[in-house]
Parts: sequence; C-alpha cells; structure tokens
Amino acid sequence: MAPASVVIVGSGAGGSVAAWALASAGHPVLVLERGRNLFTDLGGPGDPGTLLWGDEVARARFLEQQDPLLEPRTFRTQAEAIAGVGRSFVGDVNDLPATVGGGTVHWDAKTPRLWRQDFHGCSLHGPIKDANLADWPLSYEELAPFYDEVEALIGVQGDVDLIPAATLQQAPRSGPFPFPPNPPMLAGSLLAKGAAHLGMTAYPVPMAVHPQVCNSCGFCGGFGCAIHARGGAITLLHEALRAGAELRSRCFVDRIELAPDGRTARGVSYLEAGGTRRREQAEVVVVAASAIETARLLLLSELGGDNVGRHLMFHHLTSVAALFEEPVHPWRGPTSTHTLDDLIGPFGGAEAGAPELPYVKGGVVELGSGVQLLEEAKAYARSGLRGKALKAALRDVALRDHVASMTMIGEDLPQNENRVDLDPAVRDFHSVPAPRIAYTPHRFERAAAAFASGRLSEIVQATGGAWVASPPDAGENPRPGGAHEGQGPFGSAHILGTARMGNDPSASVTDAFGRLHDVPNVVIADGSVFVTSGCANPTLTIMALALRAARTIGR
Amino acid sequence: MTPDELATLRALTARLVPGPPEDRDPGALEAGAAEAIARLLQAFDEPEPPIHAARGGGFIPLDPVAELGWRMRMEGLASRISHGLASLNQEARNRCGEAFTHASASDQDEVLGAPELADFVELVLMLTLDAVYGSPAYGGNRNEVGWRPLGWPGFTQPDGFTPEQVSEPDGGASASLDAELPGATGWDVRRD
Repeated sequence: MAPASVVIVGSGAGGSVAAWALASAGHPVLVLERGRNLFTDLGGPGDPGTLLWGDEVARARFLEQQDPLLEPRTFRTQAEAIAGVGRSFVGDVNDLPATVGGGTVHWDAKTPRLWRQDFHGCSLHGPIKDANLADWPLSYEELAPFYDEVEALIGVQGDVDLIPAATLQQAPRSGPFPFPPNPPMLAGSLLAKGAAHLGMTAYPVPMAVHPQVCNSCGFCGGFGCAIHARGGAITLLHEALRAGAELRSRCFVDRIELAPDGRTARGVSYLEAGGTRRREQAEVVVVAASAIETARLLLLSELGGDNVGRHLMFHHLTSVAALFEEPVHPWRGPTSTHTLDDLIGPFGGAEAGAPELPYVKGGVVELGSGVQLLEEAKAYARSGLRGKALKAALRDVALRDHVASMTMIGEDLPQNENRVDLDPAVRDFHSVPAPRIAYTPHRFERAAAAFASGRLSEIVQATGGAWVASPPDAGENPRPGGAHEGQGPFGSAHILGTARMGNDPSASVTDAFGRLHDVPNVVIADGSVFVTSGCANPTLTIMALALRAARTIGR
Repeated sequence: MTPDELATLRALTARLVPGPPEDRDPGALEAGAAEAIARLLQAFDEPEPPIHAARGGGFIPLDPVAELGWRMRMEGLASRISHGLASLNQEARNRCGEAFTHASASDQDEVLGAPELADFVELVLMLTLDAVYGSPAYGGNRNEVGWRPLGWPGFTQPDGFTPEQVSEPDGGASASLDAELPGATGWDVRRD
C-alpha cells in the first residue's frame, strides 16, 4: 500500500516535526501555513536564508505576528462571560508569530522537559477544587525517546553534570546533550550565586542554540535569529522540503472536510490570500495550528465534541527584577543562560501561604534577562517621563545595563470555562469568525505567583550589589500577556490545552496519540493536546508529542 | 504632510526628546525624527514602503495581506496625526495666542499638558522614540546620534560579543542609585 497522503495545517513546532517525519518516511506531505514565508531559501541546498534580524522597530510592526487589524482575537473574563458580555477586548490576545516556522521563529529556544510528576499529577498530588485536573494518557518514560530524538534534531545544548539530582530524577536523561552550553551571561551567574546562598541550584538552561554558531549578539527571544544559531521548526521544515514535502504559505484552512460516513476526514478547504477557495484531499489531516487556532478550526469544522476549546491554559509569568549597582549588560547573550527548578514544587498550601489549597506548584525559572534600548525608552515613556528627564534616565539610570529579571514559567490549571469559542460578532478579513478567549486565572496561580515573588526576591537579597526593583507597571502578578499592557488574559504566549488527550472520549478530545476520538484520521500535533500545562516551557514537549503522533500514521 | 505640519511636528518632537542646548546629547531634531515620522505616514508613496527594514539596506517588501493591514493602519495613523497637529495649534493659540512653533519652550510644554491632547502626545512620543532610539534604517537616528552618547551598539552581527564580553564585568558607569533617579522612572527599589 502506498504511504498515506497527508495535509498538515500549520508549520510551527508541531507541524514541522510531523512534516519532517512523514516526508522522510515517504508520505506525500503538503503543509498549509496561514502566515507568510520570511525564509528566502527554505528547502534549498544551503542554509534556509532569512529576512529577520535584530531590529527593535520591525518587531513591533507585525512582521511575524498576525496583524490584529486583519486577524483579531477577542477576550473576556469568566465573570464577563457569565454576565453575558460578548467581549471586553478585541485585538492581540497572546498572539504568537503567525508565519512559516510559527512561534519558534522568535523563541529564545529554551527546551526544558516536563517532569514525571506532570504526567500523572492528579493521581499523585490530588485534584484541586474548581479545576479540571486529569492524568495524561502517557508517561514520561513513553515520551523520553522522542525527547532524545527531537533534542538531537534541533541541536540542544546543556550540561548534564550540572543538573540537580532532583531534576534528573523527575526528568531522567539517556545521555548528554548534543552541545555544551553557551558562555554564561554575567547577570545570570551573579543571581545563581545568590540562589546558591539559599540552597537553590541554578544550572545552564537547556536550549536549542548552537554554541559554535551563536555569538551572543543579544537579539534572541522576540527576534528572528539572523544567523540560524537557533534550532526549531525551520530546521525541520528545511529538511522536510528537501525530502519532498510541499509548503504553501498564506493558505488559511477554515474547514476539515468529512467523507459521507461522518467518521473520516477526506481533506481540507482553505482560502488563499486573495480569498480564492481551494480544496485539498488527503488520507490524513494533521492539525498543528497552535491551541487557539486549532480549537477554532475544530469548532468551524464541528469536530471533536463539547470538550473542544475548553481547558485553555497559558503559563503564568512571575517576574522579579534585580537592580545591580554595577553594569551587568543582560542584553548580551541568548536572553538567559541560567535556570533553576527549586520553585516547581509541589509545596504544601500552608507553606506557600495558601492554606485553602492542598498544594501549590510553580515552574522553571529563567534567570538574568534584560531589555534593549528602545524597549527601555518606551518603558520610561509609559511611566510618564518626557523630554530631558527621559534622556537623563536613559543616560544615568540605564536600566538596560543594570536590571536583570528572573521569570517563573508557572503551571496554569485547566478549567472548564477557560476556553476558546467562535466570536458571534467579530470576523477576520476573510469573514471567518474570530476566536474568542474566555480566561480567568485560578487562585492556585495567584498563590503560586505570590509565593514565587517572595522566593525570587530573597534570591536578589542574597545577591551582592543588587536590590529588588519593581517596574511602575508591575501591577498584578501573574502579569498580563498580549501586546497591549493590561489587556488580554494573564499569562504567556505558551498556549495549551484546547483539545486535551485522554483515554475517555467523554472527557477528552483526542487519544494518547493525538487522534480525534470521533474522526481518527485527524491528528492533533500541537500544544492543544496538553492535559495540564506542566512546569516548563512547552515547545520541546510539543515537538516530542508531534513526532510520536506522526510515527503512528500509516502504522 | 504640508510644510507647516512638518514644522509643527518638528517642534513637537523637539519638546519630547530635546537636544542641545537644553540637553547635552542630540535629540529629535538632530536625529531627523519628524522627517522619519512623515516618511512613515507617506510609506505607500515609495516603491518599497519603509515599514520593515531589511538587513543591510532597503525594506522587506509587504506581501498583499501585510499591505492590506498596513494601508488600513496608515489611514488611521495619518488622520490621527493630522487632526492632532491641528488641535495642538488650536490649543497653542488659545493659551498663548500664537501657533505652537512660535510659542516658547515653556509655553509649548504647558500646551502639551492639555488633557485632551494626551493620547496624541503619547502617540507621537512613541513614534519619536522609534525614530531616535530605533534603527537608523528608517531615516531617523541619523548618524546614530541616539545611540552613540549612550554607547548602545545596535545590531552587532556579524561580530556579536565575545565570551568575555558576555560573562565578565567590563566597567562602564555605575547606575545613579540615589533615591531620585530610579524614582523618576517610576521604579520602586527596595533597599532592605
């Protein structure tokens, strides 16, 4: 039998690894991406080429992101949804790059693994009221070989000898990392010493950065890498195209089409940039559009049942800044080079200052990241500085040289009513209903943020020559995501959980391999399938799950 | 943009990011900020709209979808700037009996404090910061006058930084950590 034909919706972390695995195995593969292609020689004989580089102005001008004027998302809180408010915000709601390569086009390439306890936390630590915790239908051990393979494919650096024993017990490794770590950034090294005084262990953060190619230019997280020092979706798409896969950019899939039996997908329907409708037949449809857009596509296609769109999770970010007396240039390097796992937990609720909760969990912490000049100037402007005072602050305070932040990527619990649905009134430029996000953090996240803020502040206090500093717009912790200060949901652009996997079709959307329970030749291969958000940046796990799912196709 | 509008915009940007003699370092006038903003507003008059700079010169072409969004955005922006400049002059005439460009610096600052101008001033401030402290590729930050006095290197490829530059202290000024300056930035510093 000839290998099944496959259409893949989305070319980011999940879609790229699926495209590579399937094209390499001889499947005819077509990747449809709604964004544009900013890589000039993708699939060619040399490197993939890129139009992206270190330009702070272009970054804010939707070069990689979807333009919210054309493709808005809408937002409301759970309370607003109950009160019948249609939406309280329209625009950028935790948007990721919508371009060939997806979010990995501007990620800072951090690749921690989830922990063993993340896969069966509900059994291990117990349920939490008003959350919908469940175990994953697979274990760390089942995913580990795919972690290994993805780390080798995208080129992850790290030092296994410096990883604390507790981490290795929770995320055991079969061997060393493909590459040794980058030169450590000064601010991170100083904060690591402060952490050590408190008995915490910082170590080189695993990341998909090639240490012999990266020259620490500093235009890393939030920017396209100009020299292809970072691995990611582009690495795999490049190889997938060389292996025969086809990529069409600016093709927006808005419908998965079913055969008359109603249980088999036969292809997709999509819109080209100019609005022309096209159809593509396929024996398997892989959906990897990122959790908000994947939910939108399933809802538009009326697939997946009532759980589609629910359990939307964002990691919540808790930041504490250290103001150093001496310049520590945290803008040189790959955003951060140090991490620590001492705030993952679980911690007893009482210990964490939240006696009403049985336990609290945080997540990995990145140490020592900074801001660049234009970002600094705009931060002063937003706090009301003008004219000579603004210039004096840039010259004499120079937060870019003196402030380094620590940020916890905190676990966000799944809730039934944190969800994506189709906005009944707002449409995109193709006239397709916009995704509407309802989100309110659980008290678990607020408690974890408060607890972590205290611990992170202690690290600063234990670090010589540094003070705890809070920006004027700090507001609440966890802090809001999205491009607009104070708007949109709390959290990061780690978007997870709208098509959770599970063994029970009444409580989940896909099986343990990402196949829709109701239409098994539709395979979800992105962060949508996460059952819980876990303690760490999700991209490596997304890629490992996508690889595992792709390997089941045609078997 | 008319010559009068450009002159008003120049005067406005000069108050938001002043240069000599008020401040020792070059400001918006020296950086060419108003001209860069005017260029952005007329982006679609150029064969390569100056919206996303390309590495090494020129601009990344907009594809048809990106162009659709930017034409919508630019229409709104041009109208906000043009109405804002008119309101600014009206406010100046009301307060000091003459156009904004002819008012004294202190009168200009008073005009800028008018609550009904706040959104417009904020908009122009952000565009001015792009054009003083952003990449020179867009026509502002001429001769890197926004970067040089601050020692900001901008995009350092293909050199990047050496391991020593990343990992070791290399001097430079200590921050003025007296109580006032971080306070002026709105930052709260805990010294316990």
